[in-house]
Amino acid sequence: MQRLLNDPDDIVDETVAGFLRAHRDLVRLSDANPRVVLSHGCGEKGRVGVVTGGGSGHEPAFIGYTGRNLVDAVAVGELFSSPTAKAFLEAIRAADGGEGVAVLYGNYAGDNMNVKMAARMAAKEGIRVLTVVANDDVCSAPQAERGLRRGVAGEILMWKVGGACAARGASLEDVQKVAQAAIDATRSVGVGLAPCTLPANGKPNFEIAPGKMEIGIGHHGEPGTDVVELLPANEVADRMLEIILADHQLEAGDEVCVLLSGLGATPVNELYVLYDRVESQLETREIRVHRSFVGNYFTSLEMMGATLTVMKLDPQLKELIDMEAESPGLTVRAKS
Amino acid sequence: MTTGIYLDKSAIRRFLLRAAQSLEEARSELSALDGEVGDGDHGASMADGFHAAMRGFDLCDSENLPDCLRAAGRAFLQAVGATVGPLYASGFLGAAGRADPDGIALASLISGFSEGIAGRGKAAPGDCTMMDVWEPAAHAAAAAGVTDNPMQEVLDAAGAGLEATRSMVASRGRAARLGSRTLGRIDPGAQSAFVILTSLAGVVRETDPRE
Repeated sequence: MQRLLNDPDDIVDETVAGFLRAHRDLVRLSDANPRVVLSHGCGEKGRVGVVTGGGSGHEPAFIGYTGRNLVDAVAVGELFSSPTAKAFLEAIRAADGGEGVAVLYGNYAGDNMNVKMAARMAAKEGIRVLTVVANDDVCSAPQAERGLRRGVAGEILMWKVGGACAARGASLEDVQKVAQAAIDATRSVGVGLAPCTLPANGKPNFEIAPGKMEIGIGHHGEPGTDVVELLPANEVADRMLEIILADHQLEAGDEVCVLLSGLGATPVNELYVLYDRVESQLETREIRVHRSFVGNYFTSLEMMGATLTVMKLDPQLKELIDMEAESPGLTVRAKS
Repeated sequence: MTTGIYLDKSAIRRFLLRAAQSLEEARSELSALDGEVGDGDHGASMADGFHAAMRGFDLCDSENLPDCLRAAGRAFLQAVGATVGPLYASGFLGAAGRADPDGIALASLISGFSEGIAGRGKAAPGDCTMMDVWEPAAHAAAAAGVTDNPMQEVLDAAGAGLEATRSMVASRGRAARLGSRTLGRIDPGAQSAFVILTSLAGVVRETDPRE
């Protein structure tokens, strides 16, 4: 394992510390909890607060989406491990400006339990909390059991839409509704070429044989649907797109937002190689890419591979995706 | 009336201390097990959690055992996220609910943890989780209340449950996402539950509280 580390047990604290220094124009640490990161506009009166949280190791997710017209407060967990209920509670408290808080997070057992406990504690304090659970990862469960699917990079688009909706002064119910619509319109699929290593463990937490790749892999290494010979990039892009299109009702004339994220170790130029094929294949189906994001948006330590996310846009989602936003992980300028 | 084993507050304190120490020793082993089926943090979560619970128990203002167990559970929840934070916090609350002001019956302690965890996580034996150890342990403790060596029966039942997780496909928690990758492997949550029960057995053996 060739990694840049001090004591592996300190890695999350050191990550947060460096992140805060690097992005102090956009974010700050909660006074109440060293595992809660806040945007400077967090807790603004009269606006619904947007909260998320999750395990570390996915940077820039989750902390990187703290910012203006995006997420107000983020609970930070250990590597690949849900934040505490207490951290979620303090994120909720900080984000509340009197209009309630939408907690928009991914479908994992730990996050579900900790958010639920935090939401109940917040309700006792008189804070209204509604939640949306992202389940965009197509290969993690069949269509008929969509509720069991994991949340992956599609969460970013859910936060973008939810944050924009809250920034416009929408009610808590409306923020929840539109965030739910956002994730319902979104599908993701991952491919893995090499595993990742939790520094404290010192060895890869699963295996991918040399020359092989895994299609449908989760972003902690949850197994995919197929292990195949390593394919050329265009064929990988085609497989990913086929999986999404088979699950998602997209027709000629539709507009989409595409997010293609590396999992940590994949060179960014290879992401552009994949993206070129993805967009050209969408074009041949007369599906128009309205906006795209290509880069390391939601990683998995040094896993090699990528996640493709496609959101089908309607006029409302399009407007909210297009709204200006600024955060360390994602900046959106208004389209002219 | 039963004359089963009864643990006072100082015995519970020794149990928490020993569990924290044993989980500390098992830290890497548990994380390695978890690295194969989960996210590799189970050893750290359990060791840190029981250390925190121990501190919460000690810092509790009240002399009353249920209050101290609740304080331990709150401390666990503050220290640990993941799935085990809410699960063991609920376990401590379950035990608190069954404790008397000055002590708790052994069987009540184990079943309090078992029911608290089950109520939160909704897992049952066969799901390849810590419940494959806690549930049979609770059952054995209740059945063995007045026998000579109830902890041996508890550990036998718990050990059988632990071993059985090898042949199970996880259906709860993060390991559930791994499907058949969990086959042939001990569930890390079941392993840590067994470590905790072994610590409890050590305390019971030392103190023989049935005098």
